[in-house]
Amino acid sequence: MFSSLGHGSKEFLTIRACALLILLYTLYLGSFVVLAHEVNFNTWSEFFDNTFNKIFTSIFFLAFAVHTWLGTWAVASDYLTPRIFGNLGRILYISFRSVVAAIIALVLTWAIIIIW
Amino acid sequence: MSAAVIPVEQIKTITMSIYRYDPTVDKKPYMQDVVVEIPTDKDIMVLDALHLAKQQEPSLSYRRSCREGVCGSDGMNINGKNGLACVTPLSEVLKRDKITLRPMPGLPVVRDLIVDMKQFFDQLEKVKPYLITKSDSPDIERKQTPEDREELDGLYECILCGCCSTSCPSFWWNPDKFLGPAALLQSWRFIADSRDEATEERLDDLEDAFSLYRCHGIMNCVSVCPKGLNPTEAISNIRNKLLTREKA
Repeated sequence: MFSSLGHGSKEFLTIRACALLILLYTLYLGSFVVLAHEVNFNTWSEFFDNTFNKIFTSIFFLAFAVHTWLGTWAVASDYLTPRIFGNLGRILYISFRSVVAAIIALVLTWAIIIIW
Repeated sequence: MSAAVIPVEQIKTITMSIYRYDPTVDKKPYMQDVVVEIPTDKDIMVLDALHLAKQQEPSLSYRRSCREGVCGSDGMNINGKNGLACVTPLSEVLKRDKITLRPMPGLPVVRDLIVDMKQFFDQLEKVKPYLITKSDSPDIERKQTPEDREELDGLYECILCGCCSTSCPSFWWNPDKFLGPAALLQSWRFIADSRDEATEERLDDLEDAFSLYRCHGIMNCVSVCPKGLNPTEAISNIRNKLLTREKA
């Protein structure tokens, strides 16, 4: 079903599915903080020792990466264009996308190292 | 017969700040204040006030035709919001006896309040705003049930004034890729038409990342439509159709 969709439809669903995952994880983590009697190094360590929490947190970071990549593409293709900036538009677009890609790669790598 | 003289106490002075630009003379656009006298015993439209301004400034240019909200010629930006000058009562938009008129944003200015609508109509053309049929023509006509006909209410009334598309930021940024609310409303008007037989092709043409999906649901189009139509809902209907259709 998903594979038969066009580029625009796939992107539309992906960005919303990622947003939903981010919301679910935020609620999950928020409920842990609220319900825990005390939040300190030991309770955090215990939380992240749990395999389910490790997987869920990794999924969150993956969803965050995809959501950010697609979302910033929409922003960049609206504002950083040759239509607005002339020849500079392409340079600005590529620079912005490169910086976003670098930040996402850094965050993802760091997150995976910390979690696992 | 002599023209009726309006008593002085029934006259009020207002200031119209109007965008002026004649590319053959002006290096850049400027705003010109034109002071006009309007009657206070009746509520005139913005277009009537423009006619009064033109009596003082004959070079002032704007489009108008039917002067009753049918032809869609006099779309312009009135105090920052797009609308039709001929159906906008002056009393609704006057602020401290002042009104500001600019051309509709996002399109090249030809002169003063006149914009070049080519980009707007190019996008409309892409959605093939006409009935496409493949089956043999019936002897008399292609019929619809009253219920099928009702599906077109709120769609066929569009007069293509351009107020919606030129108030849409997505259309400002990508007028060549994003079709804009007016064209997409027309697209849905034919997808929803029970007589049309090109739904799949129409949907295929909207599957890319820009044509339809660049709508961010800002809803300026709904806010400004002088006919009270809802392009955002039409776009949402097309999107639902795209996401739920089963391809052959």
